[in-house]
Amino acid sequence: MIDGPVSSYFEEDKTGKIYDSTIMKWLMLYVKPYWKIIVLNFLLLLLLTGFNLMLPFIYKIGIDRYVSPTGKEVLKAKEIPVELADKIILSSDNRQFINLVSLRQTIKGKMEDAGIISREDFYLIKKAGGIPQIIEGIDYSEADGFYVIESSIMSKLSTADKMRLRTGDLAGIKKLALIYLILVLLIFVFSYIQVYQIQWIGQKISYSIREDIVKQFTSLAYNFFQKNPVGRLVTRVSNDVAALSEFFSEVLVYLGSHILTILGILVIMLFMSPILFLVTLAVIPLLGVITFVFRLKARRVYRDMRQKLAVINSNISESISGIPVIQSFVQEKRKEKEFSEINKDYYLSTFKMIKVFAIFRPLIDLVDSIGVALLVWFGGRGIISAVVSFGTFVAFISYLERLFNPIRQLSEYFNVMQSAMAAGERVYNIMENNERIPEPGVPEYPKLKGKIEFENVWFSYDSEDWILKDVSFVIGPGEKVGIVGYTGSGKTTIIKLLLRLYDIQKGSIRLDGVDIRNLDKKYLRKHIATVSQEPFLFTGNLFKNVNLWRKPDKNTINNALRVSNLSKAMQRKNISLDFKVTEEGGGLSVGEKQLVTFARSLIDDTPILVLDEATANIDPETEWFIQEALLKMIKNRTSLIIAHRLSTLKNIDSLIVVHKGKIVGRGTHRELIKEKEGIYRTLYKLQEIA
Amino acid sequence: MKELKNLLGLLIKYKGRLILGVFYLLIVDGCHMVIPWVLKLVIDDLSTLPLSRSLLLYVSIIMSFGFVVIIFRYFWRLLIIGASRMIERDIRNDFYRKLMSLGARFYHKTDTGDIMARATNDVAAVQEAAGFGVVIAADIVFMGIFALIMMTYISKSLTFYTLTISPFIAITTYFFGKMVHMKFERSQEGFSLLSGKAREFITGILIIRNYAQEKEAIGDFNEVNRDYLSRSMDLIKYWAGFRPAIFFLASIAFAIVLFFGGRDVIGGKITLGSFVAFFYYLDLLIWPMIAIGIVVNVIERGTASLKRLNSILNLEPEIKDAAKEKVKKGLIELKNVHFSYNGNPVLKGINARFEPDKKTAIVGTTASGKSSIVNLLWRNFNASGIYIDGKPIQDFSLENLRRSIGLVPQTTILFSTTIRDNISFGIPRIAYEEIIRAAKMAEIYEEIMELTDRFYTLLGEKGTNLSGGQKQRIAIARALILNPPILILDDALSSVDSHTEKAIMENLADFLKSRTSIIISHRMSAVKDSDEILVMDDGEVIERGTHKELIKNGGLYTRLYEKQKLEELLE
Repeated sequence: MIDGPVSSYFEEDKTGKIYDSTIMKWLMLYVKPYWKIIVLNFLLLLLLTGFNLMLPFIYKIGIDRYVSPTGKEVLKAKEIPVELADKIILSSDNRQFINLVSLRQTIKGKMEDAGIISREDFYLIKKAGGIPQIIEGIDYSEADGFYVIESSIMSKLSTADKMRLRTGDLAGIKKLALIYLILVLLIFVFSYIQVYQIQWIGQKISYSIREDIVKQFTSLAYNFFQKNPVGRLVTRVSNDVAALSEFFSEVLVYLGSHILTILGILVIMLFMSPILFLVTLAVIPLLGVITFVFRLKARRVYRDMRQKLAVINSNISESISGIPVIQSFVQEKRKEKEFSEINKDYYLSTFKMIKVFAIFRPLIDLVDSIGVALLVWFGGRGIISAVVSFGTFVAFISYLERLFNPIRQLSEYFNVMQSAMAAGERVYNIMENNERIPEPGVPEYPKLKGKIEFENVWFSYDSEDWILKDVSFVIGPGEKVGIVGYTGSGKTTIIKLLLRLYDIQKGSIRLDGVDIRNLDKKYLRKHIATVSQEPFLFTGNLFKNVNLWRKPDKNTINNALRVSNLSKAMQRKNISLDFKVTEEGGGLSVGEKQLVTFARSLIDDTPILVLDEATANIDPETEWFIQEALLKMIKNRTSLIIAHRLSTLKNIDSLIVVHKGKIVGRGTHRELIKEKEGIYRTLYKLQEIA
Repeated sequence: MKELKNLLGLLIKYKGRLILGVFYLLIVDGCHMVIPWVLKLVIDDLSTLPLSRSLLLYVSIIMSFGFVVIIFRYFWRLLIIGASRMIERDIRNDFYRKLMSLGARFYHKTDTGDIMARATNDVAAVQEAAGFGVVIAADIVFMGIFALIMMTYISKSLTFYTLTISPFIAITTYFFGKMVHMKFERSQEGFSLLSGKAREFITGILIIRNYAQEKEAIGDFNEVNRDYLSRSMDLIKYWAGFRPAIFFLASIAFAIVLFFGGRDVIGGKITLGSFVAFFYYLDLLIWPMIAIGIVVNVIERGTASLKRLNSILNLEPEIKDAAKEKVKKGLIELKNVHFSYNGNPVLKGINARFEPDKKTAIVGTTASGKSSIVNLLWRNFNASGIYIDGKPIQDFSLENLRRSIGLVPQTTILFSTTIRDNISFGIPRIAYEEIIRAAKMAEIYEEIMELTDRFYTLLGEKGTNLSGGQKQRIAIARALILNPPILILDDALSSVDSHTEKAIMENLADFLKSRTSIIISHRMSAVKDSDEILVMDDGEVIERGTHKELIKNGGLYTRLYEKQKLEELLE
């Protein structure tokens, strides 16, 4: 729940596994670095559970040892079991007493069998110093360092007398109350540390997983990003990791403590009173069955509810986007009726949920009542025969309550585990994805001169639908070539292939005579500067967007700003490199954004420039900046330009005309324009009109 | 305070249910007082043997109250939580109805995500406040008062000592609850920053790679990653202390009871049974003390959400259906129509006449104002100077006006239902034959019949995805089925190939007779044989006439026409 995001409105719960060993193994890799802290945390948890379970026990001790009368008379007429013989205290008037506090449970059992214990209770008061004043005049006897006072006599005394008589018990209670206070203080501190620590680990692990997913993104093939919508990938990094972290924050924190608590309570119960332990044990299966059935029911109803809520939400969302149609076709009333129907559906399913809760929650309370009733029955009989003390009886009722909570909650962790595992699986699938462009791992080549060759290149994104058909061309070092063609002709694909975003099916693409498949990807990209058609800016300032994360010197930056004409555009707008931009642009026009990407491409002195001109409407002045910058940029570099403006084409060595995936012409503007039926001529005229 | 009143206003509608539910809750809370008391009697009885009553009596009292609790608890849950769900249902219906009535201006300035957040989170928060808020509040009062009465009855002084911690618990819950909530919001903020950064990283992945900046970009991402980590830890700092702190304070009360209560038993002021019962009553009192903080938070959140919901629910629709006039012939006149949007003039004095039995076309550059005219005609926006059958458009019944216009909008919006339901959207109960007829006219019939479920094929995310052209043709069929006196095609054939377009226009020839038709298109072939063509540029009609006249003119129309011819060459 800690970083529980508002999950996507429409995402329905998926039924996943509760435990998956592959995913667990992978997850454990992240847990491993923290194993020492986790062991420490577990020990802390153990200690905490122990402390927590001691609290009712302190009450028990208080009641048995200091509050209730502790003595019983042993009737002489009966035969005394050997185990009891040496526990007997002989009094001055020759009666036999026994201190119940000093007896073990097994001996108490024997006592009951023999039936030698009086019904009357006695207070055994330790002698300390002389005989207290108030003892005078009341009926008491002395025995082995104790005064023995019958409880019926004690109860007739005044409060002040009782207090004076029982200063030892009062001191004992005070001591216990103090211990109680110290314990709860320790519990407070320790549980804070424990929860904080385990949460910290959970958060650190989430942090690492997020980092690793993002790292993985940098090495996945371009195709992967084409297939997966951005939103989905973002969800992997954000929501899925959050769901996964619930595994730590919810399950690890409480699951361990709950299991330990249950076990601890059972052990203490067994130790305090085997009979009452068995009685309690009889209730647990009942609780287990109810919880289990409840979980099944609740989960089904809950899923149904979620699905119906998803229907409602997608309906609202669809209605919002469809509002012009709804209103222009005057279907508001009908849509309202439709909506109120699905809203009613959801409402009915929430009612089912209410019913499930209204039946099961009280049922669990009923089991609680049954447990208490059983304890009253068996505990009461035990008290009568002195086998069970009042303290034990009271402690049992407390422990019973403490047993219920964790059992009830355990079932809820199944759900958390399930969604954590499902999220884990989705993240794991990304981490295990092998869609990469094969990496040759060949060491660095000398700096490229910049000769580009396409030889009989065939390419398709899928199957046999060829995007490029037998494309061949050569661009010499320093040559400036434009690619022209109608929308969808395959221009952009040529650039993508050169950057090796995809591998081709047939033919070969070479740089300085080396097939690009044999070049290291990073090496390849360091030699090609790209400017894409849709200038992409990162949120931040202009400085960051020009440099990205590179650290060029001042001259390089200034040079880049100058050559790209970004400096002029900045002057015109009267802004500096500190100017803030957002992903959407934030105050910059498309043309200005293009200039930023120009400057960006100039920071590294690459031998090759690949440029896809922006098509959007650009104001004349910026247009002029762009054109002028282009001229400067392509100087001394092998340049491949997809140009949408005629003016750009004029300053280029030669043009490649692409049509429907084929090269249909190559030459200068003058040469190509002469071909009467040529594609280029049509393209040219088309641009002239626009 | 006003919001709280609004929240109570919602409850009043279901006051019968709620009062009965609260009454049952009172019974349940009362029953809760029984078990500790029975335990007291048992223990006291056992301390002075022989027993004055049979153990069986005690057992049966416990069990019978257990059953009573089951029954009443079942009903109060059904009544109170049920009422909160009814309130949720009502609000959601009201909200939806409001959405249906609000116009384009509202949707232009309001983010869909924002509307969705209100429909989901805010509605849920109000439900929570109306359901558990009520339950907890009632519980606090009953459970608290009952337990206090029992405790005071047992021992006034002991009650006094233990109550000293109650303000601390209430304050701690409130304070912690507030802090946790605040820190939670902050961590949510960090979470959206993180998502945003991840989004930027993924969309920018090509740039990052092309410039071999992977390591650095990851470092950048990690900054936000770390920021989120620290915000989360900041939350955990409080969250981790929440439960332990409450438990700690409550436990102090138990230590107090142990000491003072034990002393009182030793001194004979109270019996052992009373001491134990006191312990259990205190246990019952702890919950209401904690709950005070919780309920304040739940109600605060509920009222804040209700305020947000009301800010939409109280909006007045811009365009109201107040007038009575009905469209007869369908003659449309625009007399010097001006329209601006967000301060930008979009239409600058348009004069036009769209007559029945005449095909009028509008062409022009992008954003020249073509679609704005359409928006004014079906009163998606209000503007003056528009007359239908000679009367101002405002005099017409909105419903009748819109029903009289068959509109095929520029962006095709279909609903995720069957093709049949999409076509019959305007007249759901129309005969199947009519649907087929419209589909045939829109040249989509054959393609529908090729789908496995034919007219019953589901569209949308979970169904079949049609091509843009197919969708457009379904939208055309949807408009034709209305049999409207006015038909408007707003660039409705942009994704349809020229061959099919020609077929559709031929099919429509008969249909358009005796109707007013307005055709907006980028394709010259679709408008060529119109009776009149308006050429628009920058919010003005700069040329008008028939195709022949305009070509002769050699203006913008001619340029657009030639461009089209060249493009056809390349296809």
